[in-house]
Formats: sequence, C-alpha cells, structure tokens
Amino acid sequence: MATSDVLQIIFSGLTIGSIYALMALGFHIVYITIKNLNFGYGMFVVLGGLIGYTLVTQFHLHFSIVLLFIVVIGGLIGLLFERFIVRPILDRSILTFIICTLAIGEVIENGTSLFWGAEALPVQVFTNNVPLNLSGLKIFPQNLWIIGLTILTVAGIKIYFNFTLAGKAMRAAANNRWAAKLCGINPLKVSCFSFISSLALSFLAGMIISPLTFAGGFVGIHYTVKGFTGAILGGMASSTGSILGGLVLGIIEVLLKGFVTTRFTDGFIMLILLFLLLVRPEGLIRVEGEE
Amino acid sequence: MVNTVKMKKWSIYILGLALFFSPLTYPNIRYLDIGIYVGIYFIVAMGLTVLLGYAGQISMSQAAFFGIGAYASGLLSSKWGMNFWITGPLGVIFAGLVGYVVGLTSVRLRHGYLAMATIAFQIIFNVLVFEWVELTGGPAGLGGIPVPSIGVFKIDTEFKYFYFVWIIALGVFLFSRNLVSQRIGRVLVSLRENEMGANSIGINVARYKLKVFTLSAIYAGIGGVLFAHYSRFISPLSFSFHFSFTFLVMVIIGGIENIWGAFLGSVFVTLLPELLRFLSSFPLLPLGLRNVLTNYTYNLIFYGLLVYLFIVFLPKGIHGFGGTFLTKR
Repeated sequence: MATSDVLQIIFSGLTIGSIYALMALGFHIVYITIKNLNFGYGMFVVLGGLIGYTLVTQFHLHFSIVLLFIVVIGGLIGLLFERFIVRPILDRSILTFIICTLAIGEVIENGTSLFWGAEALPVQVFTNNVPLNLSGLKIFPQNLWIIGLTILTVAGIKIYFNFTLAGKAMRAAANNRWAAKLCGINPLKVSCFSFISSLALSFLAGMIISPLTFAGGFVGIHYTVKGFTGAILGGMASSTGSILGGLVLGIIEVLLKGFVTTRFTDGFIMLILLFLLLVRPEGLIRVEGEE
Repeated sequence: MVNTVKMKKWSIYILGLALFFSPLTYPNIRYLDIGIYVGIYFIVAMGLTVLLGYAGQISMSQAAFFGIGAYASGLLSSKWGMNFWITGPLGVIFAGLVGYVVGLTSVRLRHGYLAMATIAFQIIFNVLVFEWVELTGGPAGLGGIPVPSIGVFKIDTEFKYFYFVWIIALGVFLFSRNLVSQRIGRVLVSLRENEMGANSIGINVARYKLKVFTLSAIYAGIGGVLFAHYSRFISPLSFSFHFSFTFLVMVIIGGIENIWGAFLGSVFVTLLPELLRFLSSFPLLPLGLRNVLTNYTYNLIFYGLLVYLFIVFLPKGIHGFGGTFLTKR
C-alpha cells in the first residue's frame, strides 16, 4: 500500500473524527457540569442537520450565514431544553434523567420525520465538490471545511474554558459544585450554559456533516452512541481526551470500512464501545479525582 | 379496612376472569388481536419492571432480546422445519444466554454507562439482523413461520392463540409476583436503593444483577417467540431501538413499582394507537393531522411526551395514580 493511500485514509478518518470530536465535546461539557449523559444528544445533531438543510434549500442563504444561524438556534434550543426539560428533573435520580432525555430524544426524532419525512435528505456541499489533488492525495473541499471548522470551534471552546471568567466558573463548578457555590457561582447558570454550548455544538456538528451523510433518517441514537464512544475512548472527564477520542474513533471507523467490512461497521464500533466500557471506562486520559 | 382490601382484591380477580372469558361470549377478531398483543407485551414489560422497577438496572435492549427469541424460534421452525415445542424453548433459552452475556456488563456498569452498553447491544443486534441477509433474510424479513400445534390440534385462530398467550402470561405473572414478594424481591430492591449497603450485608450484588438481567431477557425471549409464531412474519423493523423504548414507555406509564404496572402499561400502549386512529376518523380534523394520528411512527411522539410528563408529575405511573386499588400493598 502506497503512502498516499495511508494518508488518504488518515485524512478521511480525521474528517469523520472531527464530527465525533465535536459530539464528544458536547457530551463532555454536560458530563462535567451535571455528571450525567444526555441521551437525546444524537437527535439534536440530526435536527441541526435538517434545520441547516431547510435554511439552505428554502431560504437560499449563504452557507456561512446558515452556520451562524445554526449555532444560534442550537444555543436557543439548548436554553429552552435546559429551562423546561432538564431543570424540573435536575435534582431527581440519574435514571430519571436518562429516561427523560431518551424520551425527549424520541419526541425530537419522530417530530423531525413529521416535518422532513422519514427519508434522509441529500444536502449540497458548502462550496464546490472538485477534489484538490496533492500528489495522489485527493482532498475534497467539504472535508477541509469540516476539519477547519472543528479546529476553530475547539480553539474557541478551549479559550472560553481557560481564559474567560464564565468558562473558569463552569470549570470550577464542574470540579467542586459546593465550593463553587460558596464562591457565588450559580449552579443553575452553569447547567444552563453547559446545555447551551453542548447543543450549539451538536447543531454545528449536524450541519457540517450533513453534506457527507445526508440529513435526517432516524440515525439519532447512532450519533448519540458514537459521540459517547468518542468521549469514552479519550476520557469523558477531559476535554482534550474527548476530542482525541473522537478523532481516533473516526480513523478506526474508516479503517474498518476500508479493510474489514462495510456491512457490519456500526456493529464493530459498538463492540469496541462495549470493550472500552468493560476494560477502561475512564478513557485514555484520566483526570485525577474522577470516579 | 381489611375487608375493603379483600373486596378490592376479589373485585380485581372477578374483573380479570371476566376479561379472560370475554372472548367466549363475543369472539371479535380485532379485539382478540389486541388482546394477544397486550399479552405478549405484558410478558416483556414484566421483565423490565422487575429489572428497572425493582432492581434499578436499566436496559434499552429489550427489543433485541425479543428479536432474538423471535428469530431463533422462527428460523429453526421455518428453515429446518422443527416443532414449535422444541424451537420455542430453544428461542427462550438462547435469548436468556445472550442476556447473560450482555448482563455481564451490568455487573461492572451502572446507570448511564449501562444504558449506553445496552443501546450498543441493541444496535449490534439490528446491524446483524439487517445485514446478515443469508441467515435472517435481511430487511425483506422472514416469513413462513408455522403456527404452534399439539399433535393434530393447531393453535391457528386468534381465539385459540389468545388463550395460549394468556395462559403463558398468567404463569409468568404468578412467577414474577411470587419472586418479588419473597426474599429475592427485597434483595433486588436493596440493589436499587443502595448497592454498597447491600454488598456490606453479604448480598452478592454481581450475582443478583446478572440473574435479574438474564431473567428479563428470558421474559423478552418468551414474548418474542409468541410474537413470531403469531404474526408468522418477522422483519428487522419490529425489533428496532424505538421498540425497546416502547417497552420502557409501558413500564414507566403503567407504573414502575409494581408488576401490575406492566399490565396497565401494555394495555395503554396497545390501545393508544387504536384511540388515535378513532380520533382521526373525526371529519372536522385537517387531513394532515388525520394522517399523523394514524401513522404508527408518530405514536412515539406521544409516548415520549407522556413518559416525560409521567416522570415529572406522576413518577409512579397509572398504577400509582390509581392508588392501591389494584394490589394489597
């Protein structure tokens, strides 16, 4: 196998992996602040893709404006989701939260099929679809867009969490909820911001992946589990870990598709998840003080 | 006080008997069909009630175990022509074995991680059934599953199948009720309430978790076998993740803390589509809304909303709402 083939695989793996990294990051943000998993997450990814599709095809907006809109809408939905769905059950048991997010996820997934139909819809690429040729390595512009936007988003999130007061407050609350409360950090605000950023990320991920995978089509729960797998692979409690895990998962998926089987790929990824959960649930990057 | 409890108990038994024998007086195929599905779902939902309501372990792969029972029995009887009385138990045993293996994850994982692990298993099952066309027939489904028969007596009408299903359902019900009202039931509740505490008083937590997970898979397998030989055609769509969610809906809406909740939930989930279809026959409604009400996929929207509302406002489900009317507790 030539070097260019290896590079090609790594490149397409990184493209898919970028999406998983964004999703894993969304899982991570909710996990560190309220120590729970949002099972409706993948359905929001699908919703983001579908809203993006409508904005592009019905309103003929430029894709950069659509991206902006998508992030804002995602944030708004995150705000509503936190305020009206999560807050009534925030103090209830962990199982309650799991079942409720699953239920809302089902509502969203089947609700989208009400508006957009059950079939997956083809979405046009952002710019053009002519591959650049770099000495045998074919690079599609959409893949560059995906990777570039992911790098930008991740950088933005990192800056937010490390250099702004609000981000630092969120990290403090994640680290020790009671101590943060004593310092005047409102835990409700923290959970609110975590859902806003998490769902904005999910919408962004849905929007930028839809040209590759189509939008809609009852794949929400697959996205949920794959985003979670990415986060588990790298380490749920660490943001760097989640991003790395997502990227690695993307490369694994492309390798599976290329060399093992295209039919059972998802099954193999689920087996990897089960293996990880049993062997090393804390992920590659362990954070001190986490259970 | 005691007297009223006893009276209520007897009134339930009489109501149950009346329902059980009602097909004799009025054998309507449509109602019998609904009755059969209530029975099948009841069996599966009981397993989930014991698992989730008593032991506090979540499983989002009940539809996969249901499907394993259905496919194992369906394949053995349709492709190799084996007798139902061999393939049925084999299907149940196979579902139980797979449940045991998946249950191994429940020993190490809890809550969200366990839910993810079971969803992962559900997806593995779906991928296998969908893609392994040589064995399962893939998306086209598997047909030609024979009806159960004892000698020359075939359980081929809805009327006969209704009693066949409900005799099994009653057996499973009595077994589960005895199970949860005895020591093991209290052990399971201790797992739910405080795992570490249970461990400290000498309960082998891992063993009981594994046992209860396997039991719920066996129940789902029984339901699956009955489903396969009743509908006589199975396809991957019947065993999707959404179907696992539907079982969860039954348990939550019916009432998670009691076996009776499984019954109420399975009645509710089977009757809601009928009710919606009835509502859709009103001529005043716009056509779009009418189509929505009759489409089965969209029932899941109602289920999801109802589950959320029930959890927030009535966490004990219909059973808890109706007070202690249905049980002596």
